[in-house]
Amino acid sequence: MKKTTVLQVCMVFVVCSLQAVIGSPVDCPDQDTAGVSCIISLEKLLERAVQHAELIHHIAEESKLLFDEMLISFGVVNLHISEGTMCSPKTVSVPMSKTEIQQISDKWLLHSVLILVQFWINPLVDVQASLMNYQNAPSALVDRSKLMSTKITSLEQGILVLIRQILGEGGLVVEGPEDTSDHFVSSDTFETVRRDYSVIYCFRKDAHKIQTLLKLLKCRQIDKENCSLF
Amino acid sequence: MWRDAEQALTLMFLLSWISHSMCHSPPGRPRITRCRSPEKETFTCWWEPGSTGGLPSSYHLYYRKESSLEVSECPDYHKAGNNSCYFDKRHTSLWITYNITVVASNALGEAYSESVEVDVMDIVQSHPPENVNVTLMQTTNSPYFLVQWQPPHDADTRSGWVTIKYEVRLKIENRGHEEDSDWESYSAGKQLEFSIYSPQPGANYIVQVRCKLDQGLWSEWSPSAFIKIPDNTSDTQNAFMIIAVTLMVIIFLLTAGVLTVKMKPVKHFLLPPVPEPKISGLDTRLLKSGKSEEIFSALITPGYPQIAQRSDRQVDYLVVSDYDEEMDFNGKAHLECQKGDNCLTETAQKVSQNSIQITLNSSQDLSTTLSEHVYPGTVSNQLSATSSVLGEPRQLLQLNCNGSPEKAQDQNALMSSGSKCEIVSIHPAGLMGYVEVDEEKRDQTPLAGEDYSMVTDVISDNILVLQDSLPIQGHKEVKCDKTFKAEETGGVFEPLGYLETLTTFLRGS
Repeated sequence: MKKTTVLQVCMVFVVCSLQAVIGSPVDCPDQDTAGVSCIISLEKLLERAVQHAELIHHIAEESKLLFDEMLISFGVVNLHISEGTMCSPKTVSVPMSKTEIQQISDKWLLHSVLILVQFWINPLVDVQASLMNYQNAPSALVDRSKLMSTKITSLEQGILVLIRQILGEGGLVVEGPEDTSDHFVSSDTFETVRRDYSVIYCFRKDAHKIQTLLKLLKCRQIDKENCSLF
Repeated sequence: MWRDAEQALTLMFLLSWISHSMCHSPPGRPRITRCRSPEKETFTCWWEPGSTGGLPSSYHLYYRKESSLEVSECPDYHKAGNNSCYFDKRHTSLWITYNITVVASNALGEAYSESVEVDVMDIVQSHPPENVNVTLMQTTNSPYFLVQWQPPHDADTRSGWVTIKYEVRLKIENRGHEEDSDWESYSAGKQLEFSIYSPQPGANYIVQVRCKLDQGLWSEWSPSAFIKIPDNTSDTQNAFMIIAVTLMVIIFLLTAGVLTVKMKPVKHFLLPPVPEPKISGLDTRLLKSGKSEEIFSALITPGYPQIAQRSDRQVDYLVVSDYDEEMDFNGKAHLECQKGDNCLTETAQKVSQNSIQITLNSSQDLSTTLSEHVYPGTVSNQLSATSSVLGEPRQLLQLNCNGSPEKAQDQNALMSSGSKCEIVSIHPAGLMGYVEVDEEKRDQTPLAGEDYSMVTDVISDNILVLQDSLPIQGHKEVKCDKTFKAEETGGVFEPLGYLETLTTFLRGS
């Protein structure tokens, strides 16, 4: 347990440092109007986005481990995840391998990231609410789920700012997050647990995906020569 | 019957031998041992075959991706060695689960291994870092050695596809009988070099590096790099130390020899003797023995003018007292004036104007002996308790200073402090007696307050004016006016050294 508390403390520090940092791009007025006061360089924006994504991925890893421990303590041995139904959004095909990723343009990279991020906002909120109803969910898990849903929202805002900066104002038609996720209400506790676990399990994968895509994007934007592409 | 048993046994042996050599079976189930991806772009799976069943068997690996129903076969069986399957970049997709099965088949049948679900993201374990080398950097004061390495050749750090973190470990190699020390690990972050400061001179270090991709598994440790730290400085230092130590030893021996040979002159030179006080007629060695009677008998020689024969002298009692109605006293102490009339007249004058009342309350049972030892000009009593105290000695020294200030100032002899204080001491009744300072009788009642700090003045050569009085027991009232010193009112009783014996038991009562 000590290790988790140490990790929690570290997380708090990282989060606090990030919160101070991530907040500003949102408050930054549009570049048309004032233009002078709030200009954050693209490099910094990308770096913050990458850090954010790394943090989210890290929390997601820990959440999965905590959930596994909790399931073991509940006596559930093997929770089989239904094959990929929840784990990838069906609207847009997201690139799956490095070769594919290296072939797509920046625009598509950003688009994919945005779709992923927006897809997960609602399920995470649902999971967080659902975890509160558990009888003896470890508090670390509940805290992390809250953290994840907070961070994913701020990451979404960051991505929007990035899109504006990289692709310009009209670069991308941003639709609001589609409310395709059927709000799963079930009285069966086993089903609820299963669903929560699948959310965390799949979100972990997608967090890694987001992190990888953002890292590639950062490399491309900042260090155009060294990054081997296309 | 025995023949039947023999026949059965031989038949069984034959059958088993035949089946063993000629009977084939379908193969046993293979087992997938591990899958690894060294750079998050390709991956390999290895399996271990089950029993062969006696016939040559072949192995096939089939996989199914998470999102499709189509079953495919391993693209490359050879690149990674025997019993392995290598998925190249085209066939590797991240973030989806592969369902992998190995099938062993021979002429008689097939065997399926257990299916394994693999997500490439979870099986990332890179190759160890390459070209690890160590160089010793000799700066002037603080040498250190620098460990450098290269990332594994297949990891793509340039495009940011993976981020690698490194870890360095080192230990000192002990050749010979001692065990090696433990490894010390250091995290090196993402850099490609690492400095180790303050290495042990003369030690052999073994250094290894390993790395980790993103959140994957740690790689194997790289091949060891060796470095030996020279200890050239310590040799010269040792030589200097040895020379210095031998020199010091020689000097020490010389001085010791000189000292032993010429002890006294050197000692006088270094520590000149302090002149001792000499009292004619007194042998100081008697003081060391500690027997006071002998000492005083030695001191009291016919040579001393103060001690005269009693018979020749007129011994007068000096009664110095002034009765104050407020006082409650039970006795008086008298100073004995041994000198003659002088003291009496002097003191008599003073009596009227000022008073010192010394009251003693002492028990005759005291076998405390008093011996008076008179120094020139002083009257002193020396006490030595030679036996235990019986009864309850009480001692009360009352000092009554009644005089007015101007009178007191006239009476310098009496009260130098010019105080108007009265110390009224009320003491319980007890045996009272005059203090007779008698040389021949040793059982004198103690002069109260044998405390030379209370001596304010010496009138003549045998009258001692005491200023303070302290009751050992009892209630004490102090009415203090003016410049009465603290020690007079505070009741501080500071016995001299040789009076301690009296005071201790007086106090203790």
